[in-house]
Amino acid sequence: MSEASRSPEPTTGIPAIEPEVLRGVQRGEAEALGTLFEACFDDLYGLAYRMLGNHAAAEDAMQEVFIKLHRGAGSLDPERDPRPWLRTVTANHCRDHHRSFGAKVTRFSKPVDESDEGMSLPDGGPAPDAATLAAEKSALVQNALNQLAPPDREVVVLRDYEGLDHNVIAEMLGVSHAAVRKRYSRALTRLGELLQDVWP
Amino acid sequence: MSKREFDDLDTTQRRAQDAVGSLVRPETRPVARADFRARLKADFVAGRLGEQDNVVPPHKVVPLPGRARRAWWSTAGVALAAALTLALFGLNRLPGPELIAAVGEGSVVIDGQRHPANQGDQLASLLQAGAHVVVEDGARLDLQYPGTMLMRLEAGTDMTLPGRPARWFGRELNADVTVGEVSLRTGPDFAGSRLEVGTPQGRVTVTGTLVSIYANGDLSCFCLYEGSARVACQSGDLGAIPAEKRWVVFNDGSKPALMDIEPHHRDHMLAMDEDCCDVFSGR
Repeated sequence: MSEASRSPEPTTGIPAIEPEVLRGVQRGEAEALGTLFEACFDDLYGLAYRMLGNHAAAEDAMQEVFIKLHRGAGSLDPERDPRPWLRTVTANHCRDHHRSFGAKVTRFSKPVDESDEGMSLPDGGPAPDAATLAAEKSALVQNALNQLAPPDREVVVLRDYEGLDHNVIAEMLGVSHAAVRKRYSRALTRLGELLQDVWP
Repeated sequence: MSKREFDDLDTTQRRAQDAVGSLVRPETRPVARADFRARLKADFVAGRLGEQDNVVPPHKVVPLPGRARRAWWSTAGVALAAALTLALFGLNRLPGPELIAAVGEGSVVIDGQRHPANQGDQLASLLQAGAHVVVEDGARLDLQYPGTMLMRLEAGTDMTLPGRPARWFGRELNADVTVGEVSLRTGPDFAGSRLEVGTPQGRVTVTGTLVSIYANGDLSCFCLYEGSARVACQSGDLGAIPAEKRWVVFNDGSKPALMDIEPHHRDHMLAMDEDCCDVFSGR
């Protein structure tokens, strides 16, 4: 698939947010706000978790992002899907977090609840053995991701987890397209080496 | 989850791409995280999110919101930088002037306060860097900037003392002798500093030496016993003073003259050296 044909929009299969919902958000209507929250939260949380590598930091990120959304709700354009903007806000917050002193502290004090990725079994999910195996693989990949330098990790997550093309990523990160490609290639190589023994 | 692109990737890179692409959205479980999600949604829907501290992630003990936490760290960083800067400036400064001796029957005026020369304690309490000192007839003052400078102000001297010397930066010092005679020897901590002493007729730049500066209204005399000093006047730079020589700069516009050191001034310098020879000892 060529890059030009790749959509910068979320690829989660969630339906578009109706303009009427966004008008309700502008007016501060509870129902509209709840709809928008449900449409956005899981994707944004996933992005934050993959970029930050732990749930505590991801929760902080969500709080910040939804505060920003709350403050900017009045100026939302009802005709435009706010999710790309929210994704950018989330990514920017994660980048700020990586640069912060708090992030450096977190790297040396991993919370005790960080080993439970995907261990809960959603209704109708795969059988326990398969679910456990998938969770373990997911944790291994996340651990490998966490070993990448934050700038490398973010470009891999945005590219292969979020499904964004290099142009969109370059715009989000404020760097050149060539720089994104170079960073992405370097990060993939490093990540592939980290996964060599655990991924087929 | 993600769209794949297989071109230009080697096996290792493709392995990584497959692995990341296989990641699923993390569940907002267990219960604690589901609780966070529910509370965040409730606050968002109710319009309470702008009010900070509403949503507290379950892992938090001290619920500072991210913005406040960043502000706290920023403030702490600025405060720390300010403290370090202040400490640096504080450590940079070396001690100011201290009284070694005040002798004679006359008085000394420091920043407008006159005291007999024999009231050494009162004079010492008034001495500070940059002070204006007048040594009246019949008195004499010996000062030191510990480790840096030794000075003798003869009777009849009116001068403004140098500021506090510096250890690392800002090592230029200035003083003025309006009238009178000042002998000056630099100490071990002076190395690398520059002291400029101005008179009505000229200015001497001292970089480490034993010098005497004399001014009487008609002329200024800059005597060098040893070391290095450079003299300038209104007509320009006169250059370095050779050892045991002096530059004499006149007030009437006469050409400055380079002469042998004035014996009287040399005697004063050597007397100061002899009297205060232990000031820099042990350093």
